[in-house]
Amino acid sequence: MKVLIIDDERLARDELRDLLHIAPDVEIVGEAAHAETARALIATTQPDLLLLDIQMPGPDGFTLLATLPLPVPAVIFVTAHDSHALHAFRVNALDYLLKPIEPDQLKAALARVRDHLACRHAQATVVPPGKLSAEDTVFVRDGERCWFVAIKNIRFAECVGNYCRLHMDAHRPLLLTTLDALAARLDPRRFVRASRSQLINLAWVARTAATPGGGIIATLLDGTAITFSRRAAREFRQQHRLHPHVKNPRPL
Amino acid sequence: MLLFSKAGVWLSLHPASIVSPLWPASGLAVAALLRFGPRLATGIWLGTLASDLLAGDPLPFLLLGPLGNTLEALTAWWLLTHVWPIDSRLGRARDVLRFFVGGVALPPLLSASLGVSGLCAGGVLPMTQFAYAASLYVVANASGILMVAPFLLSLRVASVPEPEAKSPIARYSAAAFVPYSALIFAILLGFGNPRILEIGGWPLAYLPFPCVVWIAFAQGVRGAALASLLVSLSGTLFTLFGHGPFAAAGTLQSLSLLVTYNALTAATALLLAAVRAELAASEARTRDALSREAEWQSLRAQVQPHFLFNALNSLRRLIHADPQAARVATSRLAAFLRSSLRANAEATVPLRNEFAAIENYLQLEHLRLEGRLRPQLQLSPDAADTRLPPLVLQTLVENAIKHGIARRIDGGELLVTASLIDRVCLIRVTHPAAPDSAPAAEPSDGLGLRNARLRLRLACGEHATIRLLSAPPGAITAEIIIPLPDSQHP
Repeated sequence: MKVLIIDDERLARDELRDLLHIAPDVEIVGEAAHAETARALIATTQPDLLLLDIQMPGPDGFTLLATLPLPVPAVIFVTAHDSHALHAFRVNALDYLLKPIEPDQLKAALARVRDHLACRHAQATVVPPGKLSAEDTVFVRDGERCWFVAIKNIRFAECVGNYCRLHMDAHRPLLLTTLDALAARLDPRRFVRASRSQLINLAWVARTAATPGGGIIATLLDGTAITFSRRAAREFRQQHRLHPHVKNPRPL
Repeated sequence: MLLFSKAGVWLSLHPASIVSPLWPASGLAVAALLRFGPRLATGIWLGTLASDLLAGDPLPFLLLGPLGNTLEALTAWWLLTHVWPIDSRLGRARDVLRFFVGGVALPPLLSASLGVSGLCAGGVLPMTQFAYAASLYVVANASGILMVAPFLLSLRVASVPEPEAKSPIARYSAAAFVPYSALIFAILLGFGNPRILEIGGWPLAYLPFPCVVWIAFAQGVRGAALASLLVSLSGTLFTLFGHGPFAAAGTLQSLSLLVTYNALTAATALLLAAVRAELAASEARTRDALSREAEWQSLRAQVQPHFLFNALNSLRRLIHADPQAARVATSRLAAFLRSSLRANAEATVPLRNEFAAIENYLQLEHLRLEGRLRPQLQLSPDAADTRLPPLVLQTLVENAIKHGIARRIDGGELLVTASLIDRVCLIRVTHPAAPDSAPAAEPSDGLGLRNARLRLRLACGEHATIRLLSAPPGAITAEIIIPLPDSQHP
């Protein structure tokens, strides 16, 4: 497991490096004192896991995650205090540790990351190379709140200027990526464009209906109805070899 | 002890009847044992024996009487220390009730049976009078204990929280003179010479009651014991010499009236005082708990959790990497926590103390920020004695680090200066602005600054204030302004 340590305090980094000796499979591929160094090191070393301090000079840990290219590595947050931001995040965090770190808690967190990575690797084999799998996660931020979102939990995504709004659970956070860039990283067998501004996860589609004029209305499991543009409908039919006059085709 | 006991015995009164109606020596003995322990029992025996010898009592009584008195005191001591243990200061209602039962009611039964047996055996008293004399004996000793022992025990009552002299009642009686003179007047009116007013048979003896209640409320256990002693003693004396409402009837009847009266007075006064003291004690406990709570609250408000846990994390590393530095840092952390705790004890502190605390704090922050934190402290000597509320300066320094230096990748200089210009103390905390220096201070810090400003104004006058300036260019300066009062200047 390749690990990158990101913390602005030297003593804290030393301490963490020392603690990581408890896990023989951990390879520390680098240390960064702030977000910019971290971004460069992530690009060159491709770590599996970030041990990330949230408060740093310059962009903080959340900002770093929100602006990383996809997919985001697994993350364990390391912070001195259970702050409000972290509290809001906790529901969905893979893990976080409080300084001073207890070795047992670090060990447990690493074990969870190992499981998560194994799951990701298994899924990665079923998607085309370079595409995000259902188990891969993206990091999203909405004001005070932050989430790791597994790709499989995104119902559909909407274009909002240069960002895209993810529809998931009860929340609608913004992902700091264009819809085109997101679509390019997703498996086209699972995600289809309903229009230039909408991208649907087929796993969430309950039924589809043809409309007069060759369009399609897809109804999602939560009841949302999404109308395909004529061009998108045509492409969708071609791709899934559907006859235009078939009623209620059920994809997949 | 011998002398004391003798004095007690001389105080005891010998009317025509064989058995005295009041035996203060019993009270003295019980109080002495409760106060000093059973080692004084021999003294009590010797004292009583001596007084009986002087009174020329018959031999069987000399054997049984002093023994009975000693056993009585020992029984009271045993009951009140082992069976129903009490705090001898009688500061709680429970103590008073136990004292009535274990100290006043039960032990005299023992001494009476022994003493009266002695009198009968000595031929002074016919056996037919045994029951009558024994009941007199019991009543005399019980009255003696009830009247004298609480007063003697109350002489060391100081450590029981007394009702504070703040209640309206207590304020009027600040000089104990008022309630006591009222009490004495009431006693004189009740027992003294009501024949002039031709109201002899009226129950005027209850006139002192309100005064006793007043004293018990205003002055606590000691006052209650003294007042009830005064009332009982003078009531007994007046009755013995044929004055007052209890004197009219025959000996036994007047005695039982008197005893009931004395017991009621003492019970009311002591119980009231005990309840009052209990109330005061529980108030004091609540106040204490509240102040400790406030202390803890203020510590939590003053010590930023981020700072504390970061410091602990640095320490954990240092213990391994540099044990000597770890020891120094531990002491600094302890000093910092202590000064934060102490901070709410004082309204203002000299600036030099605040500079010392800041230095401590900066050294701890330096552990984690290292070269990024470059502090400079300049305290001009004429400003060193200026007083300001504790932790105001520290709030500014914390903000400077949190919003300025810690947010800059290369850190920066932190300049803290204090000087006196035209009788105005100027304290400045200057730090480079954070790179994304939108004035987006978190609300909690805005609160910290507002709090600091408020505390400064309360302590140093309405012209004392804190200003935030975007100066010099690229930096932020927080400025504390404290105009000195002219009276300080000769």
